[in-house]
Amino acid sequence: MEIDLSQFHEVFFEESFEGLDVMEQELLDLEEDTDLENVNTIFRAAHSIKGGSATFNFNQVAEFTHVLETLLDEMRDGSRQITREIIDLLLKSVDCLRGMLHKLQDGEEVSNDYQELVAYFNELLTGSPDNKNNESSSGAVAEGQTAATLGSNSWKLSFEPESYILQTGNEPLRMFKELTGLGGLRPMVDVSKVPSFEDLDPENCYLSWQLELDTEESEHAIREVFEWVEDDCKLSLQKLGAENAGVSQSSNEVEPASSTVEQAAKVESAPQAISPEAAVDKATDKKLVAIPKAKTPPPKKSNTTASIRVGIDKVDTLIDLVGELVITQSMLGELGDNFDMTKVEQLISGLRELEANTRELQESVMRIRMLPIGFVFNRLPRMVRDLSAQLSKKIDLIIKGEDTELDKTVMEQIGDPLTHLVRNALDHGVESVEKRLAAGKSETGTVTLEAYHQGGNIIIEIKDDGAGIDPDIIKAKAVEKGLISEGVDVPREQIIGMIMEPGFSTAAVVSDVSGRGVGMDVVKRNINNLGGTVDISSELGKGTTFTIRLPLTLAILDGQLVRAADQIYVIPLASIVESIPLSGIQLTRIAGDMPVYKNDGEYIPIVDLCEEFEIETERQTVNEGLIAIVEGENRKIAVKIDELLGQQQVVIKSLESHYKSLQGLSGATILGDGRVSLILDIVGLSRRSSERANKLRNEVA
Amino acid sequence: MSDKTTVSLGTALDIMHAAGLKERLQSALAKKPHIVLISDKVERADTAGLQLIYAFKQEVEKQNKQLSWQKPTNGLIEASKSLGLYEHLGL
Repeated sequence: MEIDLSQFHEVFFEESFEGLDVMEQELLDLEEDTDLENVNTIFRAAHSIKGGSATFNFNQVAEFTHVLETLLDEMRDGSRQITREIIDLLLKSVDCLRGMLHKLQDGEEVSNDYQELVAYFNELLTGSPDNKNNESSSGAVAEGQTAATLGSNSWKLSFEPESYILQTGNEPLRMFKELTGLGGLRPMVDVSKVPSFEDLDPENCYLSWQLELDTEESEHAIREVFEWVEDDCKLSLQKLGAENAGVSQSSNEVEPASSTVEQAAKVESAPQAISPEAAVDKATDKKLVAIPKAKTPPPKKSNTTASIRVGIDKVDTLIDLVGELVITQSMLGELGDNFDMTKVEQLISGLRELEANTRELQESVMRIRMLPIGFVFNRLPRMVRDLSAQLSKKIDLIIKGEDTELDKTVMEQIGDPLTHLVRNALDHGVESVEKRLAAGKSETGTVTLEAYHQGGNIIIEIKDDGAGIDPDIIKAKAVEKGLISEGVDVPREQIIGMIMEPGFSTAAVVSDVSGRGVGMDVVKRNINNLGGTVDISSELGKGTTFTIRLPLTLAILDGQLVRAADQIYVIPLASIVESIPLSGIQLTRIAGDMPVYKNDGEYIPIVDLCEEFEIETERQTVNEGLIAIVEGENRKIAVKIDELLGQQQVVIKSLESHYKSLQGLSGATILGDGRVSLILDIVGLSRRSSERANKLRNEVA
Repeated sequence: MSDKTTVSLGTALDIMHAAGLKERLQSALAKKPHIVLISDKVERADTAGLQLIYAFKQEVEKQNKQLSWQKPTNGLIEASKSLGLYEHLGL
């Protein structure tokens, strides 16, 4: 039976990306403190990616990780010193691998850019720059050893696998068949370690082999067969009978005919010890500058289903709750079978229990979508490291509350704005070393990233101890841009908040570093789109804090129920500014017969829900009802409604999946009485109404 | 009553089935002095499977019982030869 491996691709990619994240994290830690355990973790991550990619025939990834692993192995056994250059190289490799995996995930061809890095690795490993053409998959050592080993030879192999080898999917039988493909193979099995039948663990390997192989192939080709198990076995190769002189130019002199893997590792590093390591590293480093940074491509919409990893405890809670639900249901069922009026009390308490269970179940299901924000935070230390080097600033990044959970969808969308704000803090917030020292601060700036829950929201604070924002400069700029009139007294917070207005270039105001592409207005818009807000507080000379407030989930909304004629709509509570009875206000009409409400000098267009959605109504006078002033994307509209009803949390059902997307509506929900209520999308509604007004105006003209 | 008992090795004598097969072999060993391994359907055999049979054969001999093969397939024989276990298994 053929197994379709492609079904496992997504899992492989997911795990590999996680592995790369781990590698990145550990490399950054390694920079601060050399710990063997870090190296081991990095090695394990690389090893898993290598194994997986080979299984799925992503040979380029496998080839690259193999070379990477060789270097890591040297770091692990202490024969390679861990320098900043090596960490740089490894970080670049992580980027490169990420790029390769993204391409594979999107079904694209992997470019050969990685070969350049492979060449540097080989150069570093051999310590000789003229080994450039060596792009072998098993690194430089085997190549060097096999240079003179062509011609028909007999080899004696000793292969002693670790007991767990079978459990890792590595099958000696398959390797021996591959060896048979190279030439005549005579296997001799050693069964002395096989325990009694009773003690035998059927999944362990107790066998070892002596193999004789006649082949014209090189030692490298033979070793390649054992490539994937070289860490999981003791393997030695010995050439029989033939002239040994040429076997291993770089081989151990004590045992000219034999070169075990362990020896190979030492041999590999030998030239390194002779040539000044620093010089090699330096040369390598210089070249690295030219390597194009593998950009992580923007996540494409692929037809794969997104998946989520859920802690087993969360699933267990769900199962418990469903169990409770079943018990309550059977209790109620029994009550229904023999019901009489004396059991009303029991019925009521049963229903109450049912309600509690349902609510708990809903909360638990929602919790399944919750992931720790650490997933987003973890990509920032790397950025801070790179950027602070680029800006020649000294910056410490402190992360707090990375275990705070939020909805997966929210998290996916908060990544970019958050990155932007941290960049902003590094770029414009924290001052240069000189300026800091002149201001009597320590030369190292601090950027703190903190997440915590508050009510139904998650709060993310990005705080720097930099120069702060000067409200006078902002105000001057705002006057220049015509955003405020000169001489008007505007509160300080409002002035500072202006750096997030569209068209307000912070770069020109706060510092002279510019050219960052997206502005702060985009950050604000993205956060608003998620139903969140962003506040800024800043103290000149002490620092700035950006506070992002986000809803925990996009699936539940705090809604205000409103009535227009006989229809009930939901307005997101966060978007409501105020509501005013129509009887108490003055309506004005402007061009196109559009009614507007004048409030503190600004004209707010009035959108009549009944007109907008063509609901028949028997409203008698214009003064009946009230208006709710709502805000979205910095635009206000006044929604004309008949009555404000209660506030409640509503579960959002997508319109697209049940009907089709409609401008002005973000979804629907089902009310307590079973009626469907539409949820207004304020931004869409305001666009829709202005389009309609334009149309009307054109018709009139 | 016959003194033989049979154990079918199924289509796959491999690591996936090794634990289950071990139990069946164990109970067969407790039943009769002569165990016949029905191996005419074995399509796939691997190290774990063959190693298990080897250990079983040792056990059978230790208990002075008898083990025989019934129609081993080419695949089974080839695999045991590749691993150098052909003779050890008495195939």
